[in-house]
Amino acid sequence: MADVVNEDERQRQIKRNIRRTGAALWLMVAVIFFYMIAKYYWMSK
Amino acid sequence: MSTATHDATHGHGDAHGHDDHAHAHKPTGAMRWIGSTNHKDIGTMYLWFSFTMFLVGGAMAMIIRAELFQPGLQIVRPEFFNSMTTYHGLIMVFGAIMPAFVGFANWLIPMQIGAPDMAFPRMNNLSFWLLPPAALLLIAAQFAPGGGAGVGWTMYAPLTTQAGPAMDLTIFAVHILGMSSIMGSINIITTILNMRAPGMTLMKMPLFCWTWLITAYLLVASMPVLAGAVTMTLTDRHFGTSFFNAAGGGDPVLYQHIFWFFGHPEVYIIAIPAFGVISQVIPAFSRKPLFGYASMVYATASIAILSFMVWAHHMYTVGMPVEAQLFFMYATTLIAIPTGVKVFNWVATMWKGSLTFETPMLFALGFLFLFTLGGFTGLVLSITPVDVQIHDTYYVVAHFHYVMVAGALFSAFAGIYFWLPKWTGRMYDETLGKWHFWLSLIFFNVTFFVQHFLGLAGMPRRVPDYALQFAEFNAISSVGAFGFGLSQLLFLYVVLKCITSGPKAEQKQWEGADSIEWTHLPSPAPYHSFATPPVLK
Repeated sequence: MADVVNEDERQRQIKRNIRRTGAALWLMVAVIFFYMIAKYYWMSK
Repeated sequence: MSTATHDATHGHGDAHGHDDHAHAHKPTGAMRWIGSTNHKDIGTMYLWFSFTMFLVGGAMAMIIRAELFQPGLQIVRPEFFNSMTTYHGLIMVFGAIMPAFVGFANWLIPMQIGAPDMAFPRMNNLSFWLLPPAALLLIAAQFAPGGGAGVGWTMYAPLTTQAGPAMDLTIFAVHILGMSSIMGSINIITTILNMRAPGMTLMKMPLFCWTWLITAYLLVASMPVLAGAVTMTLTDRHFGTSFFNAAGGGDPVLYQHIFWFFGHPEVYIIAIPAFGVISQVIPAFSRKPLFGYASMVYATASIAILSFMVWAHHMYTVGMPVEAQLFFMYATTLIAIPTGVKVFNWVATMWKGSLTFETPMLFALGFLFLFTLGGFTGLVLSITPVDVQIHDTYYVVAHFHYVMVAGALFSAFAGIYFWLPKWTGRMYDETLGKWHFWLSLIFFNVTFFVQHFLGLAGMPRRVPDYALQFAEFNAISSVGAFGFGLSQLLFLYVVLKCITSGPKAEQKQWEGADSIEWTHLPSPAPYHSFATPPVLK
């Protein structure tokens, strides 16, 4: 991001990266939670 | 969320500086707190909430120690005693220690990386306001039919699948607390990765930020596991599943594996931010930079990774194959290496430093000695044949209280005394602070050191009565516990006195403090800081 001169563009990139980081982390949480329950549900059948 | 992101990245609209005129935007009244998206206000609420829960959990500890003062059943019924041990653990871990360090994170991370606020300020508000209802559920569980669930903070099946309605309240509370932690962690990771001021590279961040970045990843990876475990317990209780019910094809030991896959990283979720605080305090009072900064970062990351590979050392007695026991024993002893690196670096930082011993430094040194002792007894417990002998005895209770109380709590005290001048703009009473330290140090050891001997002699934990040969050490431990509890009222007085009538603090109250909240911001830190990113070299 060091090569971004325009401040508006810099802000836009930060906001986009924030959204992407947040979404990726929520996805990780959901995958761990549901994968674990589904796996052990199948194992207990 | 986009508006929240806008607030966070732009600061607050027209505020170009970071101090005086931004005070005009400070809201007042109850809505300042209820609807706050300000990281400093939310940090303050976290800290007060955690202290309140510390008193509630402490009161439960007093009940436990009062009952154990003498052999025989004196004060409470055994069921209530078991409930107290359960909720003391849950409240101290999820309600007191974890929120305390999230409070530190909220206050300090934006100020230390030069950001105006957290990345998701509204989610930050929600993650705090989930805590009080969860705490109320834990307390309400005591009044459910049959009383609180005396299942231990680990909530092992099949006890939990057979417990009364209090278990449902407890499970719901754990869900809410976990959701709060996950939201807080996502906020911290996103803030640190995306909102550092230009020039603040990852390897230039204060170590406190590094420790929280690593901790937040631990939380995001391990909290859904706990949430899954208690969800499965809930469905076993009410929806006919058999995850942990052997009669239906499930396995109660599976619960232990899942719980400790969360539970051991949880130990480091508590300890690693404490390392971060200590890594700020010791250099400041040694008037030297932290020795081996990069190795501290790598050691912390190594501890975090290893923490996911050692969970079964909590369950050597369930009947694992000897190969598995050996793996978990070796993996656990391996953690001593990066931990040793950290302790060595703290000592090397002090070596030939210009040391002074104000209250934060005293607590940091107390942490260093006692946490190392707790780590050492952890090594003892990691040896499988030894652990089989002293599993579920008071040796374990002594071990984890050295890690949790003398480790995390002393570190939290060090951090509070260290940053109080920055937070409040006022200086605390140094003499009373030192009294608080020495009383805490002495009474802590009176309470817990003797428990090593009780454990080695075979006294089991979570039992309200005991054999006569344990009477003397238990009486000593109870006296220490009441002294330790009363000492914390002195801490409350010191903080209140500081806030209301302490002398004015300087911008850089500590000569050796060098992170940007000390060098770039006045004391008290302004309500909105770094709306324009600071220039960092």
